[in-house]
Amino acid sequence: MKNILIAFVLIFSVNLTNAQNIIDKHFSHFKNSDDFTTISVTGKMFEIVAQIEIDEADAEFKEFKDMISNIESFNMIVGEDIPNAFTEYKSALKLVADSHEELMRISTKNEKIIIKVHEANGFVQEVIMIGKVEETFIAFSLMGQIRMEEIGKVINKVQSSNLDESFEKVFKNNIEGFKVYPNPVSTNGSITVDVPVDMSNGQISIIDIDGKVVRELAANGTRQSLNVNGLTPGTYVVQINMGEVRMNKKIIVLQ
Amino acid sequence: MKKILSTVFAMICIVSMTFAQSKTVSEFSDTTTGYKAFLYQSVIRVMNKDQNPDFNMLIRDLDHIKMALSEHVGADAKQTFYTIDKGVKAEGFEMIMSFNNKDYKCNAYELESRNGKSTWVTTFMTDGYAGAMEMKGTLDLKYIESLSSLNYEQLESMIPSNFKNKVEKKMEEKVVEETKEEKH
Repeated sequence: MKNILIAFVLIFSVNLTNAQNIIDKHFSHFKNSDDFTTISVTGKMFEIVAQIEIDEADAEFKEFKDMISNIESFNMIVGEDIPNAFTEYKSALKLVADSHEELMRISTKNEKIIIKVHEANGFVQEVIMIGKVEETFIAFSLMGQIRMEEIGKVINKVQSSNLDESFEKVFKNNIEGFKVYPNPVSTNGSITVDVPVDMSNGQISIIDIDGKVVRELAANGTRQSLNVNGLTPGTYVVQINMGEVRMNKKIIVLQ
Repeated sequence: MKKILSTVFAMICIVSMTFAQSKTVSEFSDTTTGYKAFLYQSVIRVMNKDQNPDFNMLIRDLDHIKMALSEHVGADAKQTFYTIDKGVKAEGFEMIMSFNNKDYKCNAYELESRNGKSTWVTTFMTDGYAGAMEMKGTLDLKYIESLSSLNYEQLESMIPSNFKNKVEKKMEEKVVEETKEEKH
């Protein structure tokens, strides 16, 4: 009986894990729509690709193999030339408003792209991108045990085949270049912010859990130090804003 | 979109060229009035356009590739695809990858046998007609890069022109029929 119960819990857990990716959870109705292209790759497929033996000199493929070894699933939907792309984009954002934290946002007149992550146990469990580019709606989910430092590379590998090449530079430079440390930081300490070169003329803010800006200063270069003296212990977001691009990083301030 | 398609196709090739055996695919192959082909290793070896020794190593444990295409087009092709696909799923195959849109559908499946060996099947609908592919044997993935030596043109040329013409004619008729229906 105990074994049956354990088996039941395991099966339920697996189903629960599978259902957690946002595409299956919120957009599965698009899978049978003629207006949308859907792609789904399971962990098994990544395992097969990871088995491919390569020449160690092929650094690019080695990096790709290392990267996918931590990925459990990839799901994507693309709706091209759909008249309600912006509506779909706004609806999608509402669905993930509370479950995922914003990492990056690009917003121009015709293009809106948001990258969000769900973190647990020190790893990013799911990276999602929701975007509207002209009349195209895109959403993808990558699940796995991904280190935050690898997010830029992972997104670049995925997006470079779907979006304009100009985004590649934005993602690569900004996600890889934006660092905040130490984290956690004590209330009598200070944080150092490494600012991506492209955003060195931007504005750095520390925002509390209620969305109130509690510190603000100009980046003025690629490294800036911010005093966190006087901040109530808790979770804050360090944000850099520069033109069309906004980047977020969560920090914890300890007593 | 072209990049996505080529990436997905390459990945499906990797999956497909591993091992496959499905009752549904065999039945479809036996009953289809469309096109069917068995490509044994000796035939595939001829398609090594660069005479690349790694390509021969890649396929040395591959027994054969079986491919079957339906001559149904349009909505009938879609229905054929769904029927094959449903059959493969009913056999207990687990989907490991899928690509789906209005014009192209492709699903890759795996079924692990009791001896731990996996079986792989690919079902697809492309260019208006549906089909399935199964492969028996294994590929030595160490030599996967040599897949670029496969002569795809030669592979495609094996599909008889009368079959292609028949399908194309049916597709044209279908378009005319659909246009008439839209006008009504």
